[in-house]
Amino acid sequence: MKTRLFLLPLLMIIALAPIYAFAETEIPDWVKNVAQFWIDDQIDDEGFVQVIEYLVGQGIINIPYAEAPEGESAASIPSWIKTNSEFWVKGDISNDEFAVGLEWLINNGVIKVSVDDSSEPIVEYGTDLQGEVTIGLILPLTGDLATHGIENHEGSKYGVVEFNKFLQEIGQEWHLKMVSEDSATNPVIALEKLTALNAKGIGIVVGPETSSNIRNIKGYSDSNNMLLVSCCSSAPALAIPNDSVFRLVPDDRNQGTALAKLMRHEGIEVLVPVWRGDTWGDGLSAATIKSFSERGGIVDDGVRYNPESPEFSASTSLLASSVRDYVNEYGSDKVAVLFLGFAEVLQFMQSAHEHEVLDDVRWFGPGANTKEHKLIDDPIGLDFSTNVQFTTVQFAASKNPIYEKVQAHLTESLGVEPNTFVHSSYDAVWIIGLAMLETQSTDVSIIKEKIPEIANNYSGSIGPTTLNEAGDLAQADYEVWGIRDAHWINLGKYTQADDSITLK
Amino acid sequence: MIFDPIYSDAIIFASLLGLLSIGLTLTYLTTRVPNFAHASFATIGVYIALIATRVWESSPYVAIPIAFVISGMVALSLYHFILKPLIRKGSSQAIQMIATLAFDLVVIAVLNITADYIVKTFQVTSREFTLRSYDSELAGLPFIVFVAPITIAILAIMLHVILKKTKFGIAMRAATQNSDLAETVGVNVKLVYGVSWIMGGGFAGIAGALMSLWFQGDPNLGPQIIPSVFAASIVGGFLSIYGAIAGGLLVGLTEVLGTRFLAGEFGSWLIAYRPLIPLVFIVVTLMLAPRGLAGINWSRFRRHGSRT
Repeated sequence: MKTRLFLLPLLMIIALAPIYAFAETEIPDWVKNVAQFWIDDQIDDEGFVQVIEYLVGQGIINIPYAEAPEGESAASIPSWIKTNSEFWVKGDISNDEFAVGLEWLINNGVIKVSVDDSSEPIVEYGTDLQGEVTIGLILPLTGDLATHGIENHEGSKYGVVEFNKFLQEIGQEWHLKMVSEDSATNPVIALEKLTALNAKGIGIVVGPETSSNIRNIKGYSDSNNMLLVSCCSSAPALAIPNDSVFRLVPDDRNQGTALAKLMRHEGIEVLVPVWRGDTWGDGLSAATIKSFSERGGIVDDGVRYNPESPEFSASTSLLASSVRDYVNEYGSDKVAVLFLGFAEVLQFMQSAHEHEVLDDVRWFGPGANTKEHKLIDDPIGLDFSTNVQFTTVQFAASKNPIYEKVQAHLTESLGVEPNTFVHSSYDAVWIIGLAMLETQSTDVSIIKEKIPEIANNYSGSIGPTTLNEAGDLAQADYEVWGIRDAHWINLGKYTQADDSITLK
Repeated sequence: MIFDPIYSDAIIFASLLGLLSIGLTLTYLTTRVPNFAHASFATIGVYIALIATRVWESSPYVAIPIAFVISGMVALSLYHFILKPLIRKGSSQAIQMIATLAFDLVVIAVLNITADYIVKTFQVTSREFTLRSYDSELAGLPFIVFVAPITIAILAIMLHVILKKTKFGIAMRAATQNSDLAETVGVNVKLVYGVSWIMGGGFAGIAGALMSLWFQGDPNLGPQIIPSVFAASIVGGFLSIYGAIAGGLLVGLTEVLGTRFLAGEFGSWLIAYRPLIPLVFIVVTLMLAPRGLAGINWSRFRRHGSRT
């Protein structure tokens, strides 16, 4: 008997040995992008720790030998772990070698992995929905906003993939399918596409992207009991309670305030605005002008240009004439041009480049131009935007593990760092999906009623998605971006709560 | 720059409009059908310039002869495969005009496919693009400022020589004035018409290759500029090459400088109404001088001037 008892631990060791011998560290490749952000100081230590905690907690990263400590935790991340990460990103060391650092962080309590999930109540969902549930998507895959449209399309596509994974995990027997349509940045085509989706029986749509498109299709959507969840439309004129449109961005009164504050912070006294003659351009220019005037600045009548025009010579000549007068009176460092447009910014700047005086003053722009890579790729665009220190604002998603995951995935799939609206596009799919899941219905009226509640309790890729009474995103902080040294650089932040600008 | 760049913008636009207007007039002279696909022949030139510059990484000016040939062939196919059979069947001018509209839609669709192919295969922006950055400079000015007016001058002189000094030119004039009579004296009217369509489309292709250096290129560029091209031809009289050049210069200069002047005087809101300028030209010409600049008896004005 004694011999048998002696053999028991031996048998256990033999049985467990293969498990330990083959336990490998599983780390998806895209986590390298997150690590690169951390190495480049694009996210701080706390942000990196949060991401790793989330990834380990969700089982996305599997660290076999890590154990949470019982005693005190280490205060910060030692520098060798960053060095280790850099080697790992470059492929100089393996996953297992990199995992040593993560193990250390877990074992020393810097990364806290929650293992007790019994406190979370188990949510029971119904099972009425079955099979394929189709939603529509209308985005500008061609035209003036194609750059953002293609990125946002990828964001929504990824949202569908991830949401379907989630449905599978919780044992639901239905999945989302997305039917994509190209609005070509054209309000008339957007209406045609919405009509076509309605004819196919699709009443719930992610998009469209632009305010002018929404303005043109809103009447049809309202009267045909459809539902639109837009990632990017922000015109104040469309902030209407109880309509068929929800927008996962703050309306442009906030962006106008942020731009005005930024320009005043930069010492600008005179503002010469130039904007697209459409719903979005008119709304944002009015909001910015109002806020800039209230802050004691002087505002010129500006230039309202025709966005359909294939060239902008008359607009830039008129702009140059106005700017010249103000520069003579106030000096070039006190005068700024506010450009409010889409991808035609390149053509406009190429034309403006011909006028020396427009090269001498600062230029500011909206979120729609943030990370516009055409400006970097084109020699004149780069030269001009560098000379005028082109600076933009874009609504800020609060950094969180989902944000980092989506950002990393899309950076890899698109080959460029995407704009913030991709996160709204991702969340739009999730909010619609969660509303369907909770109600076990695809009825548009029921989903429409449920969305504010879902959005107010959901925290997604852009962070909390609380909506205001008009169905638009309530939070309104903005990141400040600019072209410096041939790159788009994050320069700082505008915080709505205390109306402050913090530059790095 | 010593002078306001708006003047160089106006020179470029007017020259290119003149070039497009010559081509449109050449095709109208033969078949008497207003060709609504004409501006899209120019868009073909725009895309050839894009390929030459961004894919082959050569000068955009390399595209000029290629654009002439390809746009000319596309124009010939419109004449040969669509208009000629329709004319043979005795179709009305309205039917032929609608056929050119339908052909335009096909050309735009092919351009859209080409744009998608370019972006997917070569990762080159193929919509809302400009090649302005790829132009050279001369005396601190973009090369296109000189090339556009020089090109129209060379082509105008060349056309003048062909029409007045060569047998083919005489045959062409004869065929356009009275095709039946020309045929009886041995002129191959179909060949003359075919060559006219090649030249008309080819000139549009050249204009397009040059336009890429100043305009925002897109498959839908044609419909955006076609009112200006028609205005230029109508102002020129629609049946006169020299009238077309004058019409192109007049409409082009007025569109750019007129818009700038009016916006300066009355406010920038007027800029959005620039597309109305060619339409006003068309209305005024058709009401006051239906035969355009070429139909006005200028000698009467000269005599009146010398008397006063």
